[in-house]
Amino acid sequence: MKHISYILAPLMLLFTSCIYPFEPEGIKETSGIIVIEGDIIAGGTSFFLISYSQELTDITTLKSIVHAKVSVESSSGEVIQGRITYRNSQNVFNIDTRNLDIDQKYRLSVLMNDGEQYYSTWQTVEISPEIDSLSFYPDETNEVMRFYVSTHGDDNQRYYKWTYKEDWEYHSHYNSFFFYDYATDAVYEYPGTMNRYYCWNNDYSTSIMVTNTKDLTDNRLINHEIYSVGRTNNKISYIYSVEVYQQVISEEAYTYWVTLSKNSDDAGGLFSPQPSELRGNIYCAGDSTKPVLGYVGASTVTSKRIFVDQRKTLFWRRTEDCDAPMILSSLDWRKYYNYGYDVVDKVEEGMGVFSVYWAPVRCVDCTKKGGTKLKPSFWPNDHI
Amino acid sequence: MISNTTSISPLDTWKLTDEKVKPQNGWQAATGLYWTMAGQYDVSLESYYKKMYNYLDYKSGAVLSMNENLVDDLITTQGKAYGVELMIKKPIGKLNGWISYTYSRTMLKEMEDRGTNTINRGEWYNAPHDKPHDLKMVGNYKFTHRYSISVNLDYSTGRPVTIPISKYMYAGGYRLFYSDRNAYRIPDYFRLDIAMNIEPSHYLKQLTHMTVTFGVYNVTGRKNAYSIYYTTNGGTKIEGHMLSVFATQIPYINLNLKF
Repeated sequence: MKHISYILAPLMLLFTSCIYPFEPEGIKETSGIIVIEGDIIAGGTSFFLISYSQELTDITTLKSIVHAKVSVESSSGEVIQGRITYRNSQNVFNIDTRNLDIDQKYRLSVLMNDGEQYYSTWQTVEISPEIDSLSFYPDETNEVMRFYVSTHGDDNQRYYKWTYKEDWEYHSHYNSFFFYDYATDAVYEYPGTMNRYYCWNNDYSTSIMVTNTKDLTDNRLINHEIYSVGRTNNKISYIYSVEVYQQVISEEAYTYWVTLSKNSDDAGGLFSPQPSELRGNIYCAGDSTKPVLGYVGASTVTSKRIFVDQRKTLFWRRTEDCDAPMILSSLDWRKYYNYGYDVVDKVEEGMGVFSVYWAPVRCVDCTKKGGTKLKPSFWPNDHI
Repeated sequence: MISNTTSISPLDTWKLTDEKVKPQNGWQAATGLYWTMAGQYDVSLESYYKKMYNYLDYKSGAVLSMNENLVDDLITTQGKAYGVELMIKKPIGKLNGWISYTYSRTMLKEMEDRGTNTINRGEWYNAPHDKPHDLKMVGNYKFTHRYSISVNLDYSTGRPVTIPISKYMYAGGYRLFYSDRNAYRIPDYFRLDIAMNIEPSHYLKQLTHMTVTFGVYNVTGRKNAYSIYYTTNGGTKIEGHMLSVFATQIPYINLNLKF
């Protein structure tokens, strides 16, 4: 007996499967879970960002909580209060932990406005070894600039975590010495050293970078890759600098960070890992079953900075398209300015006749690409 | 058996017992009642209770595919399963068929205490294949010796899944907050198939006997979930998706040859 349907069924599977939106029923408590982020940094300043979790479909930007009393407590009873600071476009609590005694244990205490008290578990201060070196490698095959860290530690320094802050200088496509003034409908030369050619921007790491050396006989990391930057990213278009911060973390913290990155970064694919509820080491003193998110560790931090100069690497590839500037009659200036154009150059053709060249403003004004004219104090060149 | 039900395409793999994976063991008790009613109906009522030990499940964050060291990502759980099944059969007559309803539960609980990493704080949770309600019905009605109609009905509770229920900003990016293990379920499964059977010839001496069946699979066109998964859209918005197979009515023609 032959059943044709048995043969057809697997074939039909290929043609009839469909994907529909899915909203599960009966979801409880999808937002409003307290999230506490930050580490107790011995010998430095500790920053803590406190926020609420949001619904999955909520696309409003995060608002941090400022109405709370945040402090670091030592096992001997010392309390260091935190203050609100604005950092990386968020209101965070800043606690001066420069003079911590590394032989004591510390924990974070957060007293919310509604009277709920939250604590992290007590943490031993982990001592982080110096970064031996930072390096980079322009990977032509995969079109990314890779960044590596090398370090070594003792037997208590088996779990590492890195974060970084990057700064970069970039330029607009055209270096214009002139600008258009809408009010007077005229083109002027920039006074002094003013320009819209040189710009600077910065960013903080957004991915989770952890590793361990527990299975290595020698506790040494040589050129361990921590992140990479795409070849066409304008971060590496001129001078790029990164300061990498290295922390040793506990084994428990390491497990937390690894699970966190698996839960978030790899969701939704064929090879997704088993997702999980993840709570960390913070608890509500009044109700230990209440979920609180985040892990507060305690450690010293070491750091190192390197610069990457495009003039030496010649790795960055331009993708932006800026056509040759066009000459506009003064009758058209206002119209084109409103279209989003600005002046590239003003050239005397002789006999007091000038040609004014125009291009899209993104090709002329570097601040249109997110950066500012604020040069970092450590920057290795003179122009402003 | 090790099941992976969280990805877009659920899959099971088999693993032999070794020095790290202890043999599973358990015991089971079952009772049953069977009787025949009115000479036409066979009725059975069965119930069972089962205990399992060293049943495998995943650690949180376990890498489920292409993992050489899968055993390190496994945990052992104890399991309990119980249920009752009622079945009524009518094997003969113009109208024949059977209907069965099962209520069954399978629950797991992690055996080892691994602190904050213990699955659902060491409490009982739904096993990945736990489907409490299951109703199946098959009915045939013979109009004549030549024409008959068949109806097939299948309903079961959706299997449990672990899904993100909230998101939060942490370490510079949005992270997902997942529910307790297997705390939610995919939508219930329901399917109705109808078929019309024709036996054109009844010659006893013929070499082959032919049956033609015209039918429709999934008459109600219900979009049954095969799997669900989540993707991040535009960096901030997280959307659930349901993969559905045969999400519409599928007509078919069967030609059976018996010889």
